[in-house]
Amino acid sequence: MVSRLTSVGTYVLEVKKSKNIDLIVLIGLVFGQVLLVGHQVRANSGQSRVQYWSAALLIPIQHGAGAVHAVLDQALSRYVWLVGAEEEKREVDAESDRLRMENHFLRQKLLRHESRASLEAYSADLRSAALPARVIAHGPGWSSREVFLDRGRGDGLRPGMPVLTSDGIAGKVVAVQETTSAVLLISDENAGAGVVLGRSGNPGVLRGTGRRTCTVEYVGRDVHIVPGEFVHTSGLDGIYPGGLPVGQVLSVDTSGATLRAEVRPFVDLDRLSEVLVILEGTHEMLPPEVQESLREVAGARPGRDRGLAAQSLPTHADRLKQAYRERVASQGTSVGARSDGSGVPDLEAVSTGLRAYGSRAADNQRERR
Amino acid sequence: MAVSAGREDTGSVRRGGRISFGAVALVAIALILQVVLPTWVSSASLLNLPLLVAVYCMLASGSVISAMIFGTLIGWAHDGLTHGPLGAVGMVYAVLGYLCASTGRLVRLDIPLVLAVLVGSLYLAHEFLLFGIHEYLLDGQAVFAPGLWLFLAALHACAALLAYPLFDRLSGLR
Repeated sequence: MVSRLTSVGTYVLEVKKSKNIDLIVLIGLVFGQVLLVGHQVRANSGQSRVQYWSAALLIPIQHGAGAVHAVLDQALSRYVWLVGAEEEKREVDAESDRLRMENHFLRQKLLRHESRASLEAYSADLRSAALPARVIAHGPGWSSREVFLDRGRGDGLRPGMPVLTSDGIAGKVVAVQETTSAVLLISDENAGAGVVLGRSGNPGVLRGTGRRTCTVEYVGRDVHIVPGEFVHTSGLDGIYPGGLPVGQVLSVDTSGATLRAEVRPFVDLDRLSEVLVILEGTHEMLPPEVQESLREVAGARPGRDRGLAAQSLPTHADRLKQAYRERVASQGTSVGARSDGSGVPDLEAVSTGLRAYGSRAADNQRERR
Repeated sequence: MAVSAGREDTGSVRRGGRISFGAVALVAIALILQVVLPTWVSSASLLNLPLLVAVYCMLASGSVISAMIFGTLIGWAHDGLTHGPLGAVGMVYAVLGYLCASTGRLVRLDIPLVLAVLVGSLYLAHEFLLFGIHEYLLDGQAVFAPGLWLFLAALHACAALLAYPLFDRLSGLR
């Protein structure tokens, strides 16, 4: 039984193998004769069919090979291009860095130029004699509220001189060297200035907070302060001429015995570059609405100093300076110089005038009371 | 008819799967008659004598490869007598050789109906293949006439039923 099955299996395998060979031979015969026929028959183009078929068969293969070649060539060229591009990128990056730096310096230069041009224009409009100066350094530390100018004693700067920009006051000179000087900004905790509120015309004292904002203190509780109103210098502190813009009220604190307003200075104190140092201060004209307010305040409160409203009158400091000059002139000396010509002021020479002015001021105060 | 299914001997045509000289002579005579007969009897052209002889020989052949080669040679001879390219009919006969030798093993050829159907089918395959070759490989002027092909297929089936016993007898004379 087993042997019979084996013989049947062998027969089946033989038949299968034989059929495969038969098929291969058949295909070979047919294909060979197709080629034979194709070689004899001419196509419309005049070529033999074999040539025509060869072309028809090979052209797509050629196309495929061409496409593969193109892809490989492109990939290779891209690789080569990428290698070159990396080098090129480094060069472009370096050039970009250089141009960015150059652009930065040019921008700074342009800003300085614009700032200086703006200051010069503003300086021409100012009544006060002013000297342009450049900020050459800031005080050490992020919280420092001090800057240094490129002008000093040699340029006529003295401690106490106000410093401003075309936007408003920035601070005052606190220390003077021969060629440089230090300026305490109005945002410093130790800085202060006499100011007047733009809407109500009420005076107050501006103080620095050590931050970017300042406060206006000692404003009576009966005064209505509106956030957004402007604050100007009053000219009462003897340092800053009146009428210079200071800042804008941000908020009002009514919790204390007096009102306290937070003010944002008009001047960007963190980006000071060009400033004006007031050598001889003269009050500026306040905006018309402020003048009107001041007149109302002065009219409503008889006995108060009307000089604020008048604006043409000088401050106490101005009056003191005027008296000082008159007294010095009557004695035949010059202001700020010793009689021996050493250049140092001889205060003793004008002490009489000062005392006289002081006694007259005291009398005036007593009369007011 | 001595042609039968399986691996049995079917007369002088078959010699262990090889085509004998008698078969070749028979085909040669068929070819000559195919050319000459129509000049006397025009309707003789309807009969494809080389095909009938070739089918007989290939059916009797036990080897498919031998049948295909034999068919190819007959086809080439047929091509040589026509103005067509060499190999056109050769291809057809090669395929017929494969079909004949493969089918001859599976069916009982001693049954007349089976033989008639097989010959008729092979004739139809022959006409279809020729038509395909003319249509797609040559000038494309072949005529597609299935009705005529069926009639001729029947005619060749009948002719095979008459001729194949004669061939058997002829082979037995040797």
